[in-house]
Amino acid sequence: MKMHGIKQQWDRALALLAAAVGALALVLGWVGVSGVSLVTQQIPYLISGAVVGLVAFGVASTLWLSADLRDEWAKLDDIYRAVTDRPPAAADGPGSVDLTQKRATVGGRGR
Amino acid sequence: MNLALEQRSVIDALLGPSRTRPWAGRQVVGVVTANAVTVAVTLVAWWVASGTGKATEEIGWSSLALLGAVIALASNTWFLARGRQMIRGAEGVVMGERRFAPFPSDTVPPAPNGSSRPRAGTVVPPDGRYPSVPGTSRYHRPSCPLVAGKDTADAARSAHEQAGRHPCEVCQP
Repeated sequence: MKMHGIKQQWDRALALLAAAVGALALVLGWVGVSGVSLVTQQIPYLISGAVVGLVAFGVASTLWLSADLRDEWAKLDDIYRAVTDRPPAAADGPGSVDLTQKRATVGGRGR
Repeated sequence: MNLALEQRSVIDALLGPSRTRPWAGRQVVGVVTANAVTVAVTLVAWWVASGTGKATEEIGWSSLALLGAVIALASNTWFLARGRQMIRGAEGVVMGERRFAPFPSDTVPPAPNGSSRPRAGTVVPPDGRYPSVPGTSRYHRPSCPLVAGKDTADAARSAHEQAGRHPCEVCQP
């Protein structure tokens, strides 16, 4: 059941993972920097901690927001099909199956 | 190419089976590539910087890593903006279709010949009176979402037009 939810919400699951990686990088970077006294030893920690953390948080927010946009797209697709009497999404092709799955999840989240 | 066909091709491009998400495949590839390049640049910068031992060289490599981060953030922002733009466009298409479809409470029972969807223009309120919100310049169908839950005054179409009101652009009474 849980795996099924993660499969449907893979983008949000990846976003959470990226955010966790970002937070871990920041903490490890801080620990590393505070443990050495020379600036030349601290700079590599800035790269592996601060820059990696920044990128990871950027990726996380992009994934989360893109998941919201995909949900919005799926809703629009539902409305469009309802208005135009088009066949269900699953009948249109392999790509449309995602929309049906998304739709079920979106409804469950009350969005 | 006639107008209906052109319209259909635009709709299919926006919402058809070939596009199940707001982005085209090359846009997804572009943003993934930008992020992958950033990760690679950051790793290389970290690897080289941690082996030099010279502050000036390390600062140079960390600047390169920062530049990579900026590129990734810019590409992600572009990607999200593009998705938002496509959704705005699709909303316009859907609303355009919606105008020609009957509102749910306006639907009439299916005709014996099987046609279940009357065109919007054929559906009128049972008493021929259209609601409008006092103080506004539009009149609506009873089921229009723009008057749902509001205090309205009903009048005949001619009375509304004499009072200077015009039909709502959304429900097109």
